[in-house]
Amino acid sequence: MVERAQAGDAEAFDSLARGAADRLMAIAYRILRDIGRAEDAVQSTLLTAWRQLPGLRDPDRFDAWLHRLLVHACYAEARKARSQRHEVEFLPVHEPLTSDHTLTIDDRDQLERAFRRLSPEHRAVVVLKHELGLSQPEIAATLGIPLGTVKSRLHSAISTLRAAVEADSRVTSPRERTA
Amino acid sequence: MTFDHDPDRLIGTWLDEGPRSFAPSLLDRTLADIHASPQQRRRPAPWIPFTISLTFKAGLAGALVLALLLGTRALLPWFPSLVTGPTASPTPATSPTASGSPESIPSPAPTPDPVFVSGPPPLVGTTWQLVGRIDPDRTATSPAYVSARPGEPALLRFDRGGGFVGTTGCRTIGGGYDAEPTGSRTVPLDLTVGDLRTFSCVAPIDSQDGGVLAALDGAGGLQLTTEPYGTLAGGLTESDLDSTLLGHFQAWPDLTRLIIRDQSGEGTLIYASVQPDLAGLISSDWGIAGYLAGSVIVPATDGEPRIRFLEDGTFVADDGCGTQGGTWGVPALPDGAPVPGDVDVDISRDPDGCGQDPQPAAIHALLQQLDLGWGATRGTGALTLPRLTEVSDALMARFVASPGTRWLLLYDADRRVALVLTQVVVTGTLPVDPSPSPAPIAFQAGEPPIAGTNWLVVGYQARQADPAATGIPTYLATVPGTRPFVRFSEDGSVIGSFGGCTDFVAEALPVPGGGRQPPTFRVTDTAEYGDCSDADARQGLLLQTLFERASSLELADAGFKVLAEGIMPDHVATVLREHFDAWPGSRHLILADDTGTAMIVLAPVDGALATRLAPTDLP
Repeated sequence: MVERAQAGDAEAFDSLARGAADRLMAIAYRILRDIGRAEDAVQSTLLTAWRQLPGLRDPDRFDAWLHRLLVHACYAEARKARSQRHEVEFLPVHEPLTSDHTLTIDDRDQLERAFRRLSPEHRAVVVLKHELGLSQPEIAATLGIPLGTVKSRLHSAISTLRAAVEADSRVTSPRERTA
Repeated sequence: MTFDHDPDRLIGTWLDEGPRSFAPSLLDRTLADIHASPQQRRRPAPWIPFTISLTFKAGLAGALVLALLLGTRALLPWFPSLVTGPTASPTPATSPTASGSPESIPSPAPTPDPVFVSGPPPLVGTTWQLVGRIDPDRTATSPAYVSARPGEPALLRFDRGGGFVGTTGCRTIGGGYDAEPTGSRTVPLDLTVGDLRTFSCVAPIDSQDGGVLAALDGAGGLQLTTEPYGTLAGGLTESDLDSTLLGHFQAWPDLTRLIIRDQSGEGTLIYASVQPDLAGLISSDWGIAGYLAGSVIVPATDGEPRIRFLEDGTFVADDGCGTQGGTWGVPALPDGAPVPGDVDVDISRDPDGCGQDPQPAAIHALLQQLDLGWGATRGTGALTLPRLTEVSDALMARFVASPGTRWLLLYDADRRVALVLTQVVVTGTLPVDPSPSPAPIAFQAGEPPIAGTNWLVVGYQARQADPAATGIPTYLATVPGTRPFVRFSEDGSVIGSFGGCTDFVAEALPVPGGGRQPPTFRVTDTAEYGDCSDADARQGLLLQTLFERASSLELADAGFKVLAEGIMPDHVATVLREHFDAWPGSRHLILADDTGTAMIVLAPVDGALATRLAPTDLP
């Protein structure tokens, strides 16, 4: 299928894209925390994939290659978001929650705020680990970064999340405020 | 909540929330857009990929093969004596020999469709223009890409003898490169700096100059790459470049880049090839598609104005009411290579009998003050010369560009785009119409109709305080929280809000003989509110002005075909994304003025929007 798409077979590429789109969306959303930007990143990824697919040397690496494109598209989206002076607020999109609801709303808020403090690069390694279940060497290969960088980013991300959550807890705790 | 026990489980549970599907309809539209884009095809040997890590012998052989294959004069000049004392400005490579006063445009022969050079160019014999820079003090997460200043490009050319020449925009440079690589893809550069052109070395060119010199002075190696996702300095990859180049330089992912790193591996210069396609300039007739009028570029209308450059250094032009002529020259780099981007034009004879028609008078006036700039698009429709963003904005807003359209851009003395020309195919004695009108988009089932939909304003045109500063309109996103919107009704009535300050009721103006003219609106009633910010108030005034100036109303579908028929969807999307947070697949309503320039961009929204003038919330 990949080889057919590399040869310019649009139907083959469509099939690949349809098989990957949901997975890409899930990853992109979890890195960007914004549905619109995640959709943007997925679209950009698919466009880049179509254009550059003929240059993919190892068709067996298609999925990893696609993930790499996606992560970089997410980086670009995140940079764009930072540089944007005005946010256009669209009507909220209510997505059904799929969790087992073991986290409280406060927990989610704390994690959300903490996660947003991470850089996109740090978010990416966390998401690739938890969403795709990739090992650290696999993350390194996917992102094209050294294994040591993956380890340090994971460690740094967890530390940052922990520090942010704990700081958040202190600020929001009445007992802490009155103490 | 604490992380002490099982942070992985906690993060995993939390990350499990959120959407996991990509909307099928959006995917359908995305794929439709994608397949309008060509795949990047690799070219066969002998020189892909080409790196300096090849032995000098092999590189020399490759260059010779290329010279034989291409037969371009660009490969012929040998490296001259080093530029230790360069002239302040490039000297013309083409010395006009005629005074340029032809009586008429010669009867043209049929011109074949434009043929574009594709595939990556070789290191030697190619003119490389700086398109980006990563400074040593930047981290991978916040790279600084600095666009080369329009009109003062930083250029490099390498010869097969191990030397290079170029400019930084402020001064000429030259030196040598080690043909024997000291490591994989690493070739030291030995830099020699020429005289400073102090008269032109002002900000931001001085920054460009300093950045180029600093990087070249410590250059650790150069790499010619067509390989996607090679690693650049600071952990950046080609993918970073792709998205950034798309955003900042209107380049395309298949761009061949020359990358030069400094010794630390952090500072990086990114060059892109510019191809001096003089044959394309000379052998074609160019229809004048638009011209600078005041501060904006407007499409040319009647008279089929056109221009032809002749090989003897003269040109003939028809401004629509008469012919005129002049001379032109192409400046060159110190090694004599012509550089696209510089054309000197001199009008030698005034047209007669143009009467009061403003168009030929305007074109004639512009021809008299043209200063520089010519170029062509690549096969995909991207412009490859300076001022790309501005030009692209103008082209997108004003003209109908098709993929593969070749543009000729002529600049005035202030280096604003003065004339936009398209290459025309000549049959008989007159060019064919170079600018067909875009076809209207028919609504499809399920698409939001203009009437009955709540359209949220996501961006609007804003003129700068100094209209002479730029000929290109800029666009602003709406002030956060204001949510201006418009709702059109079948009976011609309109209701909406210009923001938090003003709600309004408007009507489509009646036309003689009965009926309504939907694109032209008049605000009939407003409700003003004092509880708004200054920014909101300014926005409201601007939006009302623009709304009442609108003369067309068009629905841009998934590929923004109305807004820019024929332009690659992702190209348009790049611009729209920056201005309106839009992307292919989203639908937008465009309120445009009588020149076709988009003034207000609206997006459909679900759910209720209310105005205080409406008796009830709108559905």
